[in-house]
Amino acid sequence: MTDKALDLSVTIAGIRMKNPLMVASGTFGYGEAYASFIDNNILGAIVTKGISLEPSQGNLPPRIVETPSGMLNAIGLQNVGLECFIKEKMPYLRQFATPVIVNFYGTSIADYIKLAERLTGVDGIAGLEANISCPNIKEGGISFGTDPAMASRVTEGIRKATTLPLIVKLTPNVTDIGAIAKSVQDAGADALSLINTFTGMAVDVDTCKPVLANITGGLSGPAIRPLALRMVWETLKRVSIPVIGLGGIMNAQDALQFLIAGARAFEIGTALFVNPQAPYEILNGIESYLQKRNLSALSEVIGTLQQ
Amino acid sequence: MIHNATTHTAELVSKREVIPGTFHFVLHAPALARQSRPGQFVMIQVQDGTDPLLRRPLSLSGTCGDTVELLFQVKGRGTQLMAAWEPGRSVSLIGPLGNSFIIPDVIKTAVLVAGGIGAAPLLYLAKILVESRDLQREFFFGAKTGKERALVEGCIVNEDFEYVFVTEDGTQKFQGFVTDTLAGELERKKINAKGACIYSCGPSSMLKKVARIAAAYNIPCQVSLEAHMACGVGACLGCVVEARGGFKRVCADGPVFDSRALEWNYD
Repeated sequence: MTDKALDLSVTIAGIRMKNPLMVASGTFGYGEAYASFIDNNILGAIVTKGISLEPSQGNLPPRIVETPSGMLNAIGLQNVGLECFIKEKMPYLRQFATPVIVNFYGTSIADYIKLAERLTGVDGIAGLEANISCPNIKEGGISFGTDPAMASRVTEGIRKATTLPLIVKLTPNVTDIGAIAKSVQDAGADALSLINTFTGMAVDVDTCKPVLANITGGLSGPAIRPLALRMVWETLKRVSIPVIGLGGIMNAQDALQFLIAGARAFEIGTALFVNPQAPYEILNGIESYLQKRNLSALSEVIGTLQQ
Repeated sequence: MIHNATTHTAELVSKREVIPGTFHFVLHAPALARQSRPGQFVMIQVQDGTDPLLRRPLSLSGTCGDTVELLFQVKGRGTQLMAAWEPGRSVSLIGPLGNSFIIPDVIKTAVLVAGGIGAAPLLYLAKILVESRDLQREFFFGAKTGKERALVEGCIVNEDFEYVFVTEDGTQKFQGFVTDTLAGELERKKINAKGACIYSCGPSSMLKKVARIAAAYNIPCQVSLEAHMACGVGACLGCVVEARGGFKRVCADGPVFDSRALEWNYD
């Protein structure tokens, strides 16, 4: 091992994390599902399953299908709802020395504001991640996350409603992610996380029906990693706020690519399904990388892309 | 904690093609063997790399000493790759996962109803029933053809079970679906609500009929469901089934459900 302790810590929007590894919304439940595999204290941050004002049943099954080096999901944001989350899920999450970032979504700007207001001041919440990238969320026929003006309006609303650090999660299903990122930054977001899933589809050729009951679903996993990386890199050219990179990160090498490209932290999701030990392996891999290069802090790696 | 599963590195000790396309694996995994109960499953990694990406959920068909057993049918790419495994191979398993069959103290008769490869978790249950309890045991097995008898015969011996084999091809005494025979046999054997329990696993269309028969005879019934899964641990919500009062996760709330707790509005 090393003679000196390596410093993997990062600060995102005032949230100090002991390392840059975050678990992505929707892949870690409310922090309990991986309790037998992972000590939640080792994580940089936990992003909870997205919550809405009222409990949501989500979509009919089938909800998932495997695709080449990836998977499509159409869970439909099933969740226990705001009040149940605060009452029944937060006490468990509060016990760890790991920042809890609450992912949330609404179907109108008013919903987002109500959620942000209520979550602000709840003990143990370190920050918010606004999901403006769900295809189900529409106002005036346009998803918030695909239109710079709408993205700006919803961010502005949330910004006024909370003093908590605000991360806005962006969808890749846009022509110019940099433009969306810029308008979200200008509307007051403290950080961005990207990318959410790509909309995809699979057909069962025996039945000639879509595999998913929802017809389309969100593609995640290593299949989208190069696209995610490109979008993170592109976004960083347009904004000055920190960017959290995600999309198909399976191992330390993948994570390092995002960090070198300039992401200050990263989230893992699908990797957990395949390998619940992934957080340990990724953190060890990042430490080895620093050691091999004789570096003492992760900050010496972030944004070091040579062009 | 919603489960006590961990990651195990197991060694494939033996492999047997029971009938064409259906394999019996014995894997050396002492900790897993100790912790597992009938009805539980494992998530098995098919190979290194990212394609196929997800682990495959497979029911345990038994444990013996330091080993666990799997009985599975080749259905897709994952199981196809597994069929090519050779003994000695190191295999990554997550388990034990899910809940298990409940054997109430009061029951005097256990009725196991298996359809095809759905026999897998019931063979495990059968073994535990034989070892642990002195009760009347019935095993109904439905298959397409007579040669599928090899899936259960040898595991289910006649001294321990009243065994009824039903095939669609009519090569056996009972022809048709196992559910065509079930009600009549329950009637004939006077098995009813009093101290009986039905345990079933098989195609969903079969389970639906079993649930209906169980309800008609007022016999408690536990069904083990199958679903495509991503995480297997209750995180992703990908494997839900429609239940009374909302969706339930097959992986974490099941795979064993009281038949009365489910909405049977699918085929």
